[in-house]
Amino acid sequence: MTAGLMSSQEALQQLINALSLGSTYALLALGLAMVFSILGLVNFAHGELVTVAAYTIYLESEHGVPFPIEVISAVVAAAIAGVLMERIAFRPLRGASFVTLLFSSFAISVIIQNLFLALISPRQKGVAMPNVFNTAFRFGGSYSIGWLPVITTITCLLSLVVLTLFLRRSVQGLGMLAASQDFAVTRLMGISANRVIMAAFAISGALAGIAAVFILARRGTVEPTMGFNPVLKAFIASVIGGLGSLSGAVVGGFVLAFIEVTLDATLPIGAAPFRDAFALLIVIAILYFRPEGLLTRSEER
Amino acid sequence: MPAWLTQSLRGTALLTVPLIAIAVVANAVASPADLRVVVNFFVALVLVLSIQAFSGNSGIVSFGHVAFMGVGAYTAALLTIPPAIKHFILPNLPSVIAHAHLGFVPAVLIATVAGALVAAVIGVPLTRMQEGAMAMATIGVLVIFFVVFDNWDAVTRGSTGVFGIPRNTSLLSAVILSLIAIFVCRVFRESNAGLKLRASRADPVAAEALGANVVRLRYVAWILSGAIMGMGGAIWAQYNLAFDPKQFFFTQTFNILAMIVVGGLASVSGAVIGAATVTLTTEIMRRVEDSAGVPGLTQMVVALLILLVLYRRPDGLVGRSEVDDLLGRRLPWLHAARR
Repeated sequence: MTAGLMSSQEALQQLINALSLGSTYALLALGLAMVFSILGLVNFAHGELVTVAAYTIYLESEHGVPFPIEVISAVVAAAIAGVLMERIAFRPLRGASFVTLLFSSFAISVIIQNLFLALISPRQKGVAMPNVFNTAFRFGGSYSIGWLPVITTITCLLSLVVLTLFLRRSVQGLGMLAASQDFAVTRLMGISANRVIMAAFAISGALAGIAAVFILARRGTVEPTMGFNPVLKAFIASVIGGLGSLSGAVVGGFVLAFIEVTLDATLPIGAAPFRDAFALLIVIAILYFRPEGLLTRSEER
Repeated sequence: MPAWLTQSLRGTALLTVPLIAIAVVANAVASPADLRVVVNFFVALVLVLSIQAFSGNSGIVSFGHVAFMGVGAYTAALLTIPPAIKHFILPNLPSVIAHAHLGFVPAVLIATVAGALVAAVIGVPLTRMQEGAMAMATIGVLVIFFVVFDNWDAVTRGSTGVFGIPRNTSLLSAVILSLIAIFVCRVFRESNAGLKLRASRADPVAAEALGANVVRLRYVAWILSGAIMGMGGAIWAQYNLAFDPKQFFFTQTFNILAMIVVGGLASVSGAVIGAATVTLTTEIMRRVEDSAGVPGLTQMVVALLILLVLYRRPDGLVGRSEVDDLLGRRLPWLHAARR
């Protein structure tokens, strides 16, 4: 099947799929980029924040907690996990080299994965999600769209708007935005380093928590290693956008989603499993030709 | 004798003594299960030394080396599995490979060359990148090779994996090859190229200004390290007999990196001592894990060990010097011939 032969129904479906996928990736990439821009740390354990949120929903749904409370507590849990991660693991390494930070986040990711494996189960566990996620709605006569991608897109875009308002309108937010561009100078302006870093991890965790709700709704199960795919996508997206650029990370998330949806629609059947390999080839090409990202102007760095 | 050679020989000899002692004792008294641990330790040594050859000298981390291990392992598997089994599990192989039935030495040699060749191809773009970009690109290499191993059904049998590899690796061959790897890594480290590369780790721009072609040096180290990894993968495959693509992904990467981080990236001695420390920790914790019934405990403790080392001794247990350098400071006569 090629793009040209797609019916308008399919095209619309693909578009909304790309948007919902892209907005999830954008939240994940933004969290990764926020921490990277301030600390120079590529946080391998970012995916584990998704895992924390997903397991929070799983544990609560086992006890019949209402869904809205599950969602809120999942987001809060991921934010707290982000802050704790920084407090316990990364703060003692403040100012350490890129390599040291990379290794430490790798180790933390392994510790959290194995905590879930030891405390809950190494196996997948099904999680009941509200029925609305599995239904579709019709409009304009023949068009039918799933609710899940629509809700995903709207929620993720709303979160991005709220975050942008916070970053641009509040003192704390402006401080963070400044820190993401030049941390050293921002500190000289009297912004507390610890507060900025803590806020970055909290926001990064909360965004991962929101994304986790939709990742969970799509896959329907939790398992200890479920954070791997999200962190990989976030990583690719933020490389596309230029690591450390916040707006780049968001755009990178959407670009990655459109690349994936296009590859899915155009690759011959046999090549489909190689989709992620193609996406990473593109990443390597970007790192080679434009290490500052596709979307950043060089003076922005 | 040139200074780099004396130094490499002395360093290798100093590490050889305890390693051979371990092998001799294991051979004499160890139970079959413990013997397996010891052989796997020597195999792991080769894998860790491969990372040392590149990352230790260039200062750039690689998460992608396990891909070369996979290349070596699949190469060795395809060459050593008896044709009757191969015909059954991989019916679509090209006939040259389908009929190949090689012994240990040629299989290891070809796997070593395969590791070097694959590294030579990938290294062209990678070694031209900036340090951070290259480290991130290696994650891409890891995932791309995993996807290929996992889906190239005609050659790798996809996610089901391959079996029927003969157990050609013995304690003796593992010891010999790991000693060769130690010596090669030491020679490279002490050589002119190694020295320049280590200088570039401290400051690439300054090293470049002093006449070091940093990209070429990194490329050479990358290929050397690909060759050692290919060899390591080949002896690993011929000891573990069956494997699937998951063996060449993040868990394996973590296991190998754990060793080098704990021991110290910057020295050959660090790689050896790191491999020993992590193997010992793993074996002790595995027993605790089994008796306490807490799955995941071993990996958790190894990860905590990494964090502890990063907090207390960011350069690893051994640090940046080799054991012979450290001993030489205590026993000056050992270093009489130093530059």
